[in-house]
Amino acid sequence: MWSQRFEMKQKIYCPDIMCESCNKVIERALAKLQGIQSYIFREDSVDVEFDESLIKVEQIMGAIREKGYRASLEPLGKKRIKERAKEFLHDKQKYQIEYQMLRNITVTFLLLLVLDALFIYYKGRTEPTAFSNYGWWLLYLTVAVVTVAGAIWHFKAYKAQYTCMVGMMIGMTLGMQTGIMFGAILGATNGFFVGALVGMIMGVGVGAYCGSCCGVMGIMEGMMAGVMGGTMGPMITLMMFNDRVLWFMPLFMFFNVAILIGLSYMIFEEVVEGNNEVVRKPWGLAVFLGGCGIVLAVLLLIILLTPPSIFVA
Amino acid sequence: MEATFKIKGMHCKSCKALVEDVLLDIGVKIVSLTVDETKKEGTLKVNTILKPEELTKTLKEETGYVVTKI
Repeated sequence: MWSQRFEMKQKIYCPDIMCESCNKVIERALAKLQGIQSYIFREDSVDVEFDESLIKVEQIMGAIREKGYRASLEPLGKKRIKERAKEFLHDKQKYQIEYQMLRNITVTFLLLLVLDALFIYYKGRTEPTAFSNYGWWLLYLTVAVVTVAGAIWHFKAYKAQYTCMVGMMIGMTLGMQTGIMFGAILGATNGFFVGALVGMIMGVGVGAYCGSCCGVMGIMEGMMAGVMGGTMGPMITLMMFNDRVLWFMPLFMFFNVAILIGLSYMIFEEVVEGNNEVVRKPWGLAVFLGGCGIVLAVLLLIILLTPPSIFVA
Repeated sequence: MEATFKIKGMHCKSCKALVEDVLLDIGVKIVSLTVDETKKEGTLKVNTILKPEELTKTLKEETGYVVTKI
């Protein structure tokens, strides 16, 4: 009987190979397999020649993975969004913090609507059109509170070392988003002065607090973004007063929340995934709910006590 | 029989994995293996019937590290 030799050449990507010892560990794993003819170690892969009738490439990759190294036929870069979305739906353990964030946001949002209802009721006693004047703005305000708080909660749930690059990104993004969302909403309800003041103070506060994870540079970038966002926000709503601002707001809020989601995604990918040194220390739901409640209550008081804008008067 | 060895040249986690792998293959029970990454040195305590010379020879052949009994 003639035995056929099916010679296969295959490049297997192993991004975790760091030194000679790693090579040797894999060499020993390959030496135990039948059918391997030769192999060459390259910078991030192993080029293997083997007899396909004796061994399959999946078995070779399995032997490598058993030793703790990733092995794949494709170069392993970042996970594509679709892959991660699938993983997110299935691996509740890996994404436990993220699931907790979504739970916190949902529960808090529903409970905060009670505060909004109280506001409308109180305003409604002197202003029969309170609901139609303030309804949308209160909704956007509540969305802004829980999404910004959620993003901050998520960021703070992981204790890790932040590079300047990442810290700056976090400070800038959270500072800008806080400033622009609260600035826009408070500008619409109570005019440019109040809107810009609230937006800027909140934006600078959040930006500096979150950017501080990487030092002065992060604080500075966070503050800068807070000033920019906080002052730009009221400009948007007030200048659009005569031009369908209520049609604009849903899309505006959608993009801003998407940016916050993107930030949380980035934090997970850059800082958390694959990092053995990261520690999970999330704040509890009570803290989250309490914090959001206080912030919303203060903002509602500001809306009540400062002169209303032409929008809502 | 317990014995302790110094292994010169270990500088990372995979160096540890390599030594563990080799010892597992020759059936030696590891009592403890610690690596000082700054000194590039590992301390290995084993419980085995193998002679120390055999162990040091096998480890040197398979890993390339210099092993001395202490």
